[in-house]
Amino acid sequence: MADRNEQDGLMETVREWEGEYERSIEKRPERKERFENLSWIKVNPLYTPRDLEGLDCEGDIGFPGKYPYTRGVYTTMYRVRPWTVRQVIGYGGGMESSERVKFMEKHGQTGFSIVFDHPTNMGLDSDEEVAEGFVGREGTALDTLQDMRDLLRDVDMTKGGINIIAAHPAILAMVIAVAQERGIDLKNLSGTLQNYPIIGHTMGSCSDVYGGVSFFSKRICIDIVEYCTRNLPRWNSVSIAVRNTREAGCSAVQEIAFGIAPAIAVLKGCTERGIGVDEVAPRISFFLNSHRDFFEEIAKFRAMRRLWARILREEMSARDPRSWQMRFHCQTSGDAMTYQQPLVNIVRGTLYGLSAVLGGCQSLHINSADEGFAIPIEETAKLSLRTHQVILEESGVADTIDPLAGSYYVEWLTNKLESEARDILNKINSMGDWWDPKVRGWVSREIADVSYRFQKEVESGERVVIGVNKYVEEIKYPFPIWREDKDFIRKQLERLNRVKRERDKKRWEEAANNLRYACKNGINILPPTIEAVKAYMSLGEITRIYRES
Amino acid sequence: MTNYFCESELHMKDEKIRVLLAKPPLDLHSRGILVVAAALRDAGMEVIYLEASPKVGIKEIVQSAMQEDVDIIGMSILSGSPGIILSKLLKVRDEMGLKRVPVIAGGIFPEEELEELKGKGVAGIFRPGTPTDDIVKSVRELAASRHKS
Repeated sequence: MADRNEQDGLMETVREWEGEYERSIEKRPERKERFENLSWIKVNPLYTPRDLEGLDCEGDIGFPGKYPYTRGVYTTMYRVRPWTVRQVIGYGGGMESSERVKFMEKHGQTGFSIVFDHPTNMGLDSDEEVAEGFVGREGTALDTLQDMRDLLRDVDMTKGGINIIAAHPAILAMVIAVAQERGIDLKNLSGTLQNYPIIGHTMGSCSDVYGGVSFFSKRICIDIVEYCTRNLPRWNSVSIAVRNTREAGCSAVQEIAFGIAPAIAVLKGCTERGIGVDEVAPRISFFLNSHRDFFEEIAKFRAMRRLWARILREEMSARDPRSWQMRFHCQTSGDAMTYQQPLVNIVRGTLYGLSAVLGGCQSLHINSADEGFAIPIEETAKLSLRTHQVILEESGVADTIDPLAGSYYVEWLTNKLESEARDILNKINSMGDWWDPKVRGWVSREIADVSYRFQKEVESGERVVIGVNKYVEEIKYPFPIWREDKDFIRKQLERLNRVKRERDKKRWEEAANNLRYACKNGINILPPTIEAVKAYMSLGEITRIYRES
Repeated sequence: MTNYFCESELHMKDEKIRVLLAKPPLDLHSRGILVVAAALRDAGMEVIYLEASPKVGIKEIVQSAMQEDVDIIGMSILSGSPGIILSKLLKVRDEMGLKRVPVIAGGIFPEEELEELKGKGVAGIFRPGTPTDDIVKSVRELAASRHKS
């Protein structure tokens, strides 16, 4: 009974304080008309125990490494193993990008991550007409196995994961081929393929690669998962890249839902093929954003981890605790970075990176000052590494696990985001699943609406963007801007032509026939794709066979 | 080819400014162009939007502009090389006899290429941070001068 009285007394005090606050702001108004986070959730002046009524300390918050993993997926977190410093690299071709890989490793990068140019992402060769103007610009141009060899020439593939931002099976096939050349047992090959059934307008849509045939993109996605499950036990066969969906404009709440929905769709696609949830779920990883609203992001990571654990255990009947653990890589927001006053982006990157660390990421990329408009130059890329290092080695934030647990605000917001994301998931379930174009069309419209709403708030001045709608200055660049090597395209086409000229025609024919046969007969396309890349079939040639068969 | 933003209100067709918004074939970052599409639509214009797709090359974009009888073509370029893409677009446009349809562009453009692009005939370039109202105003002016000529 004492507890009850104590509780009543506290509630009384809370009400008294709120009265005082109301009286104060009558005299002197609040500095903004509305206080709302990026999901348009109203933020109160103060959070108190009243906002956490019914919260179960053990069942809802729990312990690191224990279900529902609100406090982190691992028991020891950064006390033993810091997050992987994984700045993404990609420009020019394999040769050019490998130079940057070496530079970054020298200055403290601990993980490998590569992004490809758009032609590569869409399964096209550098010499195709539509590729003109895109080759090697926003990532590495990759046409044949030789390019992958060049790219990985200084990378120790047995150490740390190889993160591949691509959905094309041939790219995974090339990694496998290089690993085999080096005598690495595939059972020990660790890494991630961003094999993500993405929505059309964001980035690198599978259905675009395969000519708009979504059932085929589902088949390829599940083919990859199936192959990895059987042959590459340490490889993450799916990485849900909802980070890019967030860049397209969705809110933090939507990011949770639009990340979990495709992951569930992959699991269901696997079940249809007789692959159990516990065989696949432990190798699904997530790729999340970290955006402007500091606490909302921290709460988002915690809420998503808890929601994933609950859905996997309670609704998907997963029994292996590893299936319940939502591991994620985070890349800080690029869309919140500005073209104006680029040095301010370093400050933003620090804050966003800090949210990700306080939210328990496994691996992190902090965007560089020039992210708003170009590939980072060496100097700004190195500054991003230094930002990681300051957070980890100077600030002390990584010395205790989940330090914000128990904060009235963060726990309230974690609950709120979880419950709102669940509502969106229920809506998606009532419409169909992620493979359904109707669902993806709805998601696309939701994203466009939210992004427009935000833009209007920026233009009205309600949402401040420093340097864009407040504290505006003339645009000046305190450092040089990255420019591509004008001669690169010629070099890349020469490389591609040389490979085509020198390859064994007979072996190529045989590989093409086997690949066609597999495509037409529902046989897993990974093994014949691996044979094809070894026969130096180019990415574009492989894609054409997929499309035609 | 998706155009959820094409709202045809036939009775107003004659008065409405018709804008074709497009992305070069592999330019996948569409957030900006979708915002611009919504702003132009809110300003009462008719917007035809061509999503980036390997099947929609520069020729297809100009063909759509012709079929849809648009007043203006707006290109959004974030990943591709603006110089290569816009030069090609202007060339195809002229070859297909659409020289009188102005081309505007938005996205990331290197400072040093701006003058050259304008010299080649790009009627307006909108870089990050441009308020949508400015774009609406420019489109109105360009469409009006086209009708007068």
